[in-house]
Amino acid sequence: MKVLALSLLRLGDIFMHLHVLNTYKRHNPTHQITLMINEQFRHAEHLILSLSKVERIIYFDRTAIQQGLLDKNSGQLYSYQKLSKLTEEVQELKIDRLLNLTHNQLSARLVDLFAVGDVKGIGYQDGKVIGLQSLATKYFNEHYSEDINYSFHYVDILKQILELQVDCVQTSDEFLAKKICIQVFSAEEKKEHNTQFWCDLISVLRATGCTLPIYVICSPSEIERTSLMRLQLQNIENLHFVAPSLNELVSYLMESVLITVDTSIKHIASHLETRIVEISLGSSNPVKTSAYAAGAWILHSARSCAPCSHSRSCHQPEYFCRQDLLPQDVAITVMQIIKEIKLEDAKTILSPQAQVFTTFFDEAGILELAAFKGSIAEKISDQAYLEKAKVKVSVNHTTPVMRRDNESGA
Amino acid sequence: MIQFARAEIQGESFELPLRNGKSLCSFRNPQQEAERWLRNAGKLNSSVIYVIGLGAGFHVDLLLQSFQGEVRVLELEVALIEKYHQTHSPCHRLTILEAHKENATLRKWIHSSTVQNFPILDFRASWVDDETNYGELRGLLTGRIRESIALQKSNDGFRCVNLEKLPTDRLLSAREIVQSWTDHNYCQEQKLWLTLQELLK
Repeated sequence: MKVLALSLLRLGDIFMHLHVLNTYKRHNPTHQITLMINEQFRHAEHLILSLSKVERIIYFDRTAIQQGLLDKNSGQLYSYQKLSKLTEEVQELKIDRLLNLTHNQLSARLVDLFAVGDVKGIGYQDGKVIGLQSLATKYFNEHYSEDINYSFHYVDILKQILELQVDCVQTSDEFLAKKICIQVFSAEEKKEHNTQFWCDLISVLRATGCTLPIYVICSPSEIERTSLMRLQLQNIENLHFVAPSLNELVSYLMESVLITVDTSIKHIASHLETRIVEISLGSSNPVKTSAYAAGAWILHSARSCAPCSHSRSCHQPEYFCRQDLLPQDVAITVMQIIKEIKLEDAKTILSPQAQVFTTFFDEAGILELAAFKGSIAEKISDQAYLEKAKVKVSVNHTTPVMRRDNESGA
Repeated sequence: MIQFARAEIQGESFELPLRNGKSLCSFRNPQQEAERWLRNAGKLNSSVIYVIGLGAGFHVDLLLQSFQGEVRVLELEVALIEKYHQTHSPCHRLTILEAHKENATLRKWIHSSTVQNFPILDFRASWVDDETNYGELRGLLTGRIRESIALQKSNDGFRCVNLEKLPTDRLLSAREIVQSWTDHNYCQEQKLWLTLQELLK
């Protein structure tokens, strides 16, 4: 069977979707998966293919198509023609099943265009909405377009939508870290911490006896932004500032502890032998879009406004969520991963306001957060979710409310 | 009414065009005017370039020197075209078209430029006293005015358009194409436009 998966969001979303597709492939080993992603991520092709069971990738040139529509000097049918050719390309593949992992209006329209008989996820069929029958789809539809509390990881909901039996991969205790990687920048300022925090963190790690090489990772365009850090940390030994390509990134992440803010790198690392320590700030939502891996650690603010809205800027006079996350708490979390501190001891020396969670797969194969220190508000069980979903189904929603934006929030 | 006047420029004699007594290019330094025009045109990485307005043709000569692809010039005045051909040797990369709507070549050009993204360069100095008609040529080439869509009504992409519902006073957007439909039959053409419309929200 030939399968087409639509993953038309951002880079981090693509790597989360690969978890869904890898599970799909385990359950359907003979199915051939073609993945459609945005043209702007063509540079990630090699990495995507190496981390997944996807056979081939085709591209949706969103930027060119959108520009062609908006630029009044462009031919009126330029974008139409481009989309028409893409549709022909898809139809020539003779796809038997389409997996819509994108769940927005654009992808739903593409479903209609590609005219595949068997569709998992939402779509249109001759102008009518399809795929909203299942509880999982309704739950997703109602929850993931709003800034509300989520009970499930984005990947788990997608697996439910595709009716995949979930299988979980627990972490092994055998992990031996050979280096520490730190990703300090994010695409959104409110998800980042300040330079002093990172300098203090690296200094504390060294002061507490961590001798592993430390790599501060950024993209080539961000390397200038590290100049102040480099200056402040020039006396720290075995500290390197690197700007690897996506393909080179893997060799850094393998057998490393990755300390990261909410970026696509954590989703890449979730496919590798990496222990992730996430600094969850601003709109970063640890339940919905943390790294989809067991054994990840998340430090999150206890403020009532956290996580904030993905689409709006911070309404506080300053970023209070940053103040809750202390460098020493991150260092303690890292030190217990590399076994320089015992787990029991770590809990007692973390600062009182620290909110530290760790991830694990429960018996049902759902990714859960366990509070190592602090608490998780309103975490509900699988059974409770079903009850909640049933109630919602009976209340309303004959009309679909699909997302219009193009982001999962990852 | 096109006339030509003799001008001495840097020791060389040229016959330069005027419309209703107004010059269609710089009489002081048409070469420099052409150089500035080409600089402002930006990057030209395409196999074909359209130019609207021939004037005295200095800008076309310069374009042919710096660009290796095909140059297609649209001009409304036959006199200008004839003068250019009298004073220049033929170039296989250059076509100058008398841009009247009945012209079969113009229709072909309109069709190909509507589905492609070829650069269209205006030589506005030569539009003097006839700006509306020259300006309309851009809308014709891009398929963004009703008249252009009417010429291409039987082509894929415009079959569902109801011409009567299209505004005539502006360049048309994808949204106005969709809004003009009378029947919503969800044929492939309509599905394509509905998908494209999602990229405008």
